[in-house]
Amino acid sequence: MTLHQMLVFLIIALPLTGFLVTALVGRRLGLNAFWIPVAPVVGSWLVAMYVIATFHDVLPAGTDGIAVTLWQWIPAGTFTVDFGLFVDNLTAVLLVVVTTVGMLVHVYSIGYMRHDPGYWRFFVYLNLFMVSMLLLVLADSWLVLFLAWELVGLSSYLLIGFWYRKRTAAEASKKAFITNRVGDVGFALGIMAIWVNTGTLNIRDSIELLVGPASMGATGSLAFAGGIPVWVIALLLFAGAVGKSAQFPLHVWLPDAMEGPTPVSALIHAATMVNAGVYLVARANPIFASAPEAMAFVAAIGIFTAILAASIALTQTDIKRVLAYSTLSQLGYMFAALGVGAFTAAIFHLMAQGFTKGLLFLASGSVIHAVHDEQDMRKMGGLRKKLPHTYRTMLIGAIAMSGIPPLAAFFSKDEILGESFKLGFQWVWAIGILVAVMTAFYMFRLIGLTFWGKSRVDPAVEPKIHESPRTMTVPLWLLAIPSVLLGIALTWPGPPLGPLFGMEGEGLLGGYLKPIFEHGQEILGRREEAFQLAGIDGMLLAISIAVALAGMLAAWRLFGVEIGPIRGASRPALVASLTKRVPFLYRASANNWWFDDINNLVFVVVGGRIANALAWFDRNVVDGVVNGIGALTRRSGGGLARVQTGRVQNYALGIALGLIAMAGSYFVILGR
Amino acid sequence: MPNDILALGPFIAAVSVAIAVLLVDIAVPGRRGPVLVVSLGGLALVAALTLTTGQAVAGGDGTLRVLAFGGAYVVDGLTTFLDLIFVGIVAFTIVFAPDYLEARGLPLAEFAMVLLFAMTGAMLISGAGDLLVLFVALELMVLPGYMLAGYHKSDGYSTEGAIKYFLLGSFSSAIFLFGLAFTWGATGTTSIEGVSGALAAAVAGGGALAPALVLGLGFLTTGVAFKIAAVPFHYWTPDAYQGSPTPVTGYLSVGPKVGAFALILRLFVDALGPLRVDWLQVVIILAVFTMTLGNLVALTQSNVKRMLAYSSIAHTGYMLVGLAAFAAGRIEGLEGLLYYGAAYSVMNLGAFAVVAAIQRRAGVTSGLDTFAGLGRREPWLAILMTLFLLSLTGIPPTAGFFAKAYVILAAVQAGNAGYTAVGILAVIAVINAAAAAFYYLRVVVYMFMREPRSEDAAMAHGRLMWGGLVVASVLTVVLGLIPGPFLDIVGRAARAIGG
Repeated sequence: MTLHQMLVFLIIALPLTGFLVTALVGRRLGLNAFWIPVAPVVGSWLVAMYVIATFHDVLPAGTDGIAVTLWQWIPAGTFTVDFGLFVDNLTAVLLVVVTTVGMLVHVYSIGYMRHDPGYWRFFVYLNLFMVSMLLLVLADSWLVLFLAWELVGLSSYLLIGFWYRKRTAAEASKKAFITNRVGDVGFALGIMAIWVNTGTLNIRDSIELLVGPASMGATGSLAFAGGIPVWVIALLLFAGAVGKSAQFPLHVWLPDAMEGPTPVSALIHAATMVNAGVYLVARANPIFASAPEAMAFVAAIGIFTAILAASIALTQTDIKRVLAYSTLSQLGYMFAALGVGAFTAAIFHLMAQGFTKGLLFLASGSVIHAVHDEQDMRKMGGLRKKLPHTYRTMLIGAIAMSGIPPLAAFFSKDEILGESFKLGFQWVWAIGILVAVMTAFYMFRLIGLTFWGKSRVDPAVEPKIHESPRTMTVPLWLLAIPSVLLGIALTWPGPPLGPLFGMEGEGLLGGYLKPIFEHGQEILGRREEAFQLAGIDGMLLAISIAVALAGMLAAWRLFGVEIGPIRGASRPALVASLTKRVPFLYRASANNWWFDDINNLVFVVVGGRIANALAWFDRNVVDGVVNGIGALTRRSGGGLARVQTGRVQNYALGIALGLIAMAGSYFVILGR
Repeated sequence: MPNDILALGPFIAAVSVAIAVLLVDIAVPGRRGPVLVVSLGGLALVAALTLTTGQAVAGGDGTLRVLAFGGAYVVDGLTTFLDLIFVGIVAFTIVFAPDYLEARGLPLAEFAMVLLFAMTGAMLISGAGDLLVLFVALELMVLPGYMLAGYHKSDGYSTEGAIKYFLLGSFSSAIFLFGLAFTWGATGTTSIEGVSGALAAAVAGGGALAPALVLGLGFLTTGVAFKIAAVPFHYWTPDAYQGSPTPVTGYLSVGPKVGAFALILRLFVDALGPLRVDWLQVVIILAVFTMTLGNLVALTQSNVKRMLAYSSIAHTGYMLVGLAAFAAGRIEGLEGLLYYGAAYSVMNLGAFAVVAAIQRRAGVTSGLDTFAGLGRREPWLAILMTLFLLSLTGIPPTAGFFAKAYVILAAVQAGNAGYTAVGILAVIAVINAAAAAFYYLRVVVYMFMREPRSEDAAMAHGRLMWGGLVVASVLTVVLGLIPGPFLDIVGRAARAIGG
């Protein structure tokens, strides 16, 4: 094992150690329980950063990543699975997001969860999640990836239901787990299909076998080697992504998952786990690229989720739910980007979102903390002065989310929209523009209701409002930095960044991810086109900015504004008259388009009836048969036990008879 | 000659350890510490010596075979592998025993000493190169077993079980010896290599085999089938197992069983190898009966010790599946059999250790009711028991899963290669494995979902007991999670004899 291979292993081993030690001794540590779990995550971040910065120097010729085989997991004849890890540029990007946000959330939790009796338990779960998520992005085999996939599901379940005495939390955790399971079935089937077609579960090898080596370009006859068409595999894998990344129609679990503690929402349900689906599709990009129909489907599901969730976010009153629906909507953007073939844009948005959404969630947690666990924005307002750090960082996040240049999310969102338009998916672009208006609107509605205007806080709580401790505000500011600068840093094509990294003319991220996506893009047959500020790109850019400003101004007009000299009062009467003008749309949005009711009807009422009918059939027909067999078996077992008389003479006789039978049978066998 | 002694080194060391335990007990009577130190330290020494001897004598890859004492004793990869398993089994048994024995006023020193002598017998089997050595070794292994079964002298059940075990065991030993005599008469030699050569010549020459040899084969198979408790020669198992003190039952369910399988490897695979196609058919029938009957009767048991006894019969059946696959030309079958032996030893000893721990207070039965509410009373014990039971059921990622998977996979491959009967055997094994889940998981249900009959306080368990349980559970998981390195060793041992 080389140094780097060992370091890659260390990235996972550190939080794993933290998890094990905390699980064993954490209970006794009381309020000091945070040291053991937090320190390894910081260490893991350091190691990851070092590996990312240096691994290109040690790559063997002709490879684009470090592979580490820890051990042969399943050696069963021709079916072998190595427990292997792999770091290439795509994994590196994910590592940056996962370890950075993960570390900051750990630090933030030190303060946020301080008053909770399950302090140590929280960190145990959090560490388990880190291990699982890191394993997910590092996995080199479909089976290891699936294992990690299930592990993040499990840790997410544990964390959503962390306050398990709260009924809604327990129910939300179950909902998340079960909804995810639906997608996972598809994912598992996809993995089996890959094995059937290729005979290997190594991710890189199987993709190469499935769609032909990178040099072959468009797929040849290999695409149907094992009989299962590639588009089927692509759709099965996508089913897994739909579950984990909460896309329509499996999106229902994410808003409810906000029942978990806020650091969990930030870590799992905004910055890391929900991105696993995007990562999966990006990782398998050659497979998807070989199946244009599947790609179009991905794009359609993505953009539909984007507008659906954005429309719901417009009217939510729970601060975390607004952010949750916003997350859904932005994930929809990412899938739309993947579907149109703009893989780099999707990963770019993933990064920008990871930091910005992480920031917004942590900031919302700080707000909730300040107003004593109140999440209803109608009972907030005017918190600007009292929570200066929270307010400023959250405002930065909101501006970034709305797509105002030059903040990070502006660049990433614009790239998605621009690429969609240029690649011939104008309908995706058109819907995406609508979503952009809504995004800016609901973000500033959130800021307006929470921080601006008059206070609507419970008078009993009002005097006790205070800014959160340093362990909570420092992570906010640390997350604000990438939310602002990431966009420029990753896309600026000119000096000094471009030449510094040897990627002049295409932007840092685009050049960095090129080796990952060129295979898929080769299959798609698309060329990179230079950015033309004076041409189509400039026009699309202008439209993006214009709609973002429009949404923002609309929100200001309705819910007020207090930025420096810009002042405006909120207009509740206008809001009321507007909602009255479109009563159906308003109610649809406020009731999440009745998805929970539809699910209730389909799965609980109708499904319950069917289940009852099946239960009757099972009880009376299947069980009858099974019980019959069981009774028969037992009776024969009892009969056989009766042979066991306890008398040695009988036993000896039995053996003697057996001996005769044995010798006789040998005479028969050998009497040839 | 000095090299011969060297080859026999581990065996001599084992005998010395047994004698040393005896001497220690004479010097400082009735003390637990010295006995444990000498026996466990001695076992570590034996293990180390086994490893170095195996390396030095048989070469790194273990396929080289060294003959000592004119071929009466052999050292190869298989010898080393089996010896290590025996050492492990005995070490676990000694670790798990003191709590149980002390509660009943039974001395530890004699227990350890007798057990160590039994181990020397098993070690001699694994290196036997001559039929007579094989027989002497077998007796050396089983005679201490009879003593152990009756170790609780004041307990009627223990004595009864021991007497039955002894009578039937002697009966079957006589049958086995008879078989050896016939074989010697027919081939004119008692050396394993000689027998193998003579049989190969006879098979190559065509024509019918001498009737004495056929009869001998029948006697040998019967004798061996008794020792591994294959149906219909299993009658002694339930009585002997239930009557014996629980740590002894744990030992009896794995030690003599793996020892008898070592006998099969030396006798059937090695000496009678040329007739493998013929005894294969008998093995298939034995395997079907053994698995099915063991599981069926286990289903109806309400005593955990008795249930584990019958389940041990079923596990014999699974191991026979591996043997059948090997006889049908798949070396993987032999690997699976060896892996199964190791995995089964660890998980079954673990399960029996939990039963013994629960019975720490004298008078506690091993009935299913005793386990009710254990999950609340002693959660760690219940969790460990669940792990061992899951492994015995064959749930991944435990050792038991891979053990079953390997023998069944090998049988499937043999079935694909034209041995349809072996393929069918694989199917029967899978059905049996599924049925077995019922009675294993029933214990889990009792532990976690049933209210206890009486509110007993949790019992304190010695550090030794916990240490042993942790090692056993870690091995159970590690063997299942990372079987690769261990499979290399198994593969080497298998190639030494069947390559």
